[in-house]
Amino acid sequence: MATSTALILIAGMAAVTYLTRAPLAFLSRRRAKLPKAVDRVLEQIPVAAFAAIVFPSVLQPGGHTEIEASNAYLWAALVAVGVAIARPRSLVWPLAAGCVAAVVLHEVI
Amino acid sequence: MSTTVSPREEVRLGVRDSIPLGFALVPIGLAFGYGAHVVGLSWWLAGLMSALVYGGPSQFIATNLISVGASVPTIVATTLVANLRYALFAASLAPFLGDAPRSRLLWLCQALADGSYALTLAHARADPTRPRKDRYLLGSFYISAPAWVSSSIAGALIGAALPEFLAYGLGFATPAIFIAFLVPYIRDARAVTVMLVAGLGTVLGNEHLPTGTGPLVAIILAAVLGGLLPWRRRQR
Repeated sequence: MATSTALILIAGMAAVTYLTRAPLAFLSRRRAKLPKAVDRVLEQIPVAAFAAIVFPSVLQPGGHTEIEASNAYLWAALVAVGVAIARPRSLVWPLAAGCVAAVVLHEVI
Repeated sequence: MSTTVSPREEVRLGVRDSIPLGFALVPIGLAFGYGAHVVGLSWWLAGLMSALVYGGPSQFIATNLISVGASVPTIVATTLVANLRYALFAASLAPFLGDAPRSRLLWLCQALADGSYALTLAHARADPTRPRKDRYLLGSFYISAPAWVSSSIAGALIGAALPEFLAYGLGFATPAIFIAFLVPYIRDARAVTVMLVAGLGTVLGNEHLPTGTGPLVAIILAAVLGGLLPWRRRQR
């Protein structure tokens, strides 16, 4: 890809991505409250969004679905979940334990 | 809880809480930078994309699309769809930022990537009365943005030199940190359902839906189900 094309591409990607984030500035001081139903749907966004990151990155590590015992990320995910339950509010421990487990299991399996 | 917080203290908290996130972003940035290098983007273009777009998944999709020769409008349109979840993030976080100046939110909204959103929302929900929680988001940005941009550049320059076992282990950083974000929310049947519909829906969507649309469709479906089904109130 030529540099000039790449610059246009980056400008376009940046512009549309900014548009997706700008509502942060415009929804912060709305006068009317949102309908209750909308609030209840928005409350579910974090769980839905985090699951939409975790599941594919564990079950589709190389871009295609790998639900089998030889996928070390599956076992590492169990380790990370266990550590996250044991150490709520910690990011460091699940991160460290999960990555170490992934390396070790990858070597073992 | 205390609601008298100095501006610097709120920024400092955002910085402190984001340090693990910064570490988690490095391997992803390295992988993106290396992918960008492979499809012919030079290191400064990889860094520029990370700085201006600042949205990991969409950047990976872009490098994939470049490699198959997709046109600029196609890639830009796909980026829009892949990043529409930020509008959902913005809508769910905005109610906590009512006292932040709009002029600041107009640029600070750029900080709204997955990790900083997760941290800032958890921080805001823990104590909704805290003033100026935008400063916490700014603190998170101070760590996340340099980590993301510099690791993208490093990936483009030295990505190929990483040993395979190390790259494999570091590749688990993303699921690990988002597992840590996710687990505290999983407290009832509704949360489990939302998690499974969004997670498995994304997996299926990645296989069967057009590039970039899987997560968006699954997130909206899961949130609507979780929000609108007549769940029984949790006892206790």
